[in-house]
Amino acid sequence: MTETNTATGDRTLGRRIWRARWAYLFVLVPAVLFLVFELYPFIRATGYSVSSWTIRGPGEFVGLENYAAIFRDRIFWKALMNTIAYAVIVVGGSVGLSLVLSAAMYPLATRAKSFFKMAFYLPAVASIVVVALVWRWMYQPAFGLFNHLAAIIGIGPFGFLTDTSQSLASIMLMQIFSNPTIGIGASVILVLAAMNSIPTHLYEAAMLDGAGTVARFRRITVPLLRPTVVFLVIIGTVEAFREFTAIYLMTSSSSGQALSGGGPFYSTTTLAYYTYVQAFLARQVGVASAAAMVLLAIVFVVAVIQFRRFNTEIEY
Amino acid sequence: MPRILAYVIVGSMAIASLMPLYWMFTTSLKDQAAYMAQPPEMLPGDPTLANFGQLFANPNMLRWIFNSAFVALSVTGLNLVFATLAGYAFAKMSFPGRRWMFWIYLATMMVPFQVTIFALFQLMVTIGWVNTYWALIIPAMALPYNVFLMRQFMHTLPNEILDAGRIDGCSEIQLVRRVVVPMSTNGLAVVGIFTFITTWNNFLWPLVILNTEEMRTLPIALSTFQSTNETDYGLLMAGGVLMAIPMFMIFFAFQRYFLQGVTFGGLKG
Repeated sequence: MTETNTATGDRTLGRRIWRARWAYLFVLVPAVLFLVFELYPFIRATGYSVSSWTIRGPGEFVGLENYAAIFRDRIFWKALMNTIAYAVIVVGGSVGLSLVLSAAMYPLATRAKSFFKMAFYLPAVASIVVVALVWRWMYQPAFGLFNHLAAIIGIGPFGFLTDTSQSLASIMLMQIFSNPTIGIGASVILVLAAMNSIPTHLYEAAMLDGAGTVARFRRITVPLLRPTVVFLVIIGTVEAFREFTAIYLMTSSSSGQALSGGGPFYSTTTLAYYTYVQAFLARQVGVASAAAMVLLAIVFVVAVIQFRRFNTEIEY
Repeated sequence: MPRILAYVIVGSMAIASLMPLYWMFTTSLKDQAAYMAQPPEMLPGDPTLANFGQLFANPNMLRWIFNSAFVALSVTGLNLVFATLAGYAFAKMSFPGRRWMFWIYLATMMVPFQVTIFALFQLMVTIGWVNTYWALIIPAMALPYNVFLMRQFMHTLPNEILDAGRIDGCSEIQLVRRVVVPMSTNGLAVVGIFTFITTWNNFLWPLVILNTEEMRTLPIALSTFQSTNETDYGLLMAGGVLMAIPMFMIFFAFQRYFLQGVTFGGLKG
């Protein structure tokens, strides 16, 4: 059972597959899981998106009617705008802040660096469920910590999650600090690792050529950090578009009555939240599936664009 | 940038980052009068464990802890096995279809769960897995991200050692057990730690598929502590502390796996 490809060996596909039987055995479980729990539901979901399915149960083929229905729905457009704003600000804010923090941390002593990395990463370890509930408590308008701190510096009181103009921003701020995938905790660790991998002789050569601090940062650090930044943007965007948990936990008034979530007045309804409400609470499965397909299309386009840049810029 | 300025900027952000956790711990030690006091007590004046007592007075509390631990441990164990085997196959074995299978697999990581969740739910209804451990464990027992991670990791193992094993007459499964696994402890640790944490904290799928009180996992149970009329924040924060403590223990035990980070220079490989 060796894998040598000698010229005399039988090259028919059957023989090659038989010789690789161990490999197929090794990928069997993931492959079956993929077919049953990924591909099959995906095909069914595509079907749902073009059939009528209301609270009364599954119905017949209706073509693109569900897609037309969501494009007529003002809440869908609101959700789409919220999702885009959320993705841009959370990903941009987190990556930007991480670059600033990493640049400030880079020259510090190793122990200080480890301590700060830990301080930024700890909220991500605590789980978004726990952290979302804590922030909700701190945002509480009457007894919460934030309005108390605001009063000390002479501003507020704010409505935070109860105010349509502040609710989405309140969730974004929480995510920038605490999201396990796209918050500053994970980002600072990756950016610092990338900074450490830049060879010091590049800086020494630039110094010999008379380049100042700013020039060295712009001409060496920034270009060499681009692969990491692009990676963070891809992962962050995909993650932002599927955000559900924090919105559910911070805006619904009670479990089992999540219809009230995503508010006030749909100000925190994202596409992912919209599909959840349509599928599991309103039982408008056709509409929910159509909205999920739109979500998929957006994620796909963003990912392809970013991957293109990733692949062209990665080599240095 | 002067060093003192760096310390001020980074230090104040670190305080902001840790503040919510501090607030959770201190609120969990306050009774209702104390946590609603104005101005808020920065240090609990009269700390009490009453909230934790109330938490465990709930007859389902131990069951919820068991549910979370059982599901997270099962998913982690299964992922270690299947991600190792599949990661090794994708990294070091040649078989017809390897490339396109891997690419399809990578692409599925991009698909938001919202796309398939309802159809998956319907499938669970059909096979009778609604409100069971099966629904939480089986679909998650070989997560694509873990297979990808192990594949990246095993790509760096030297082929010479594997070939030497084959020449000595090892079958592929013996090779995995005796050579690949001992050389992959770092990768296995990363997969194990992150799978456990992700599963322990998982929210959307348990929310959808579980429908009785005793089957709930901790995150779902915790979310029901918020009530329509008046939320008991002391109790809620105590629940949060209880849920977070195992995660903090794992974090401090395996710190280096969290804080070392990875670089993306050589991802193309």
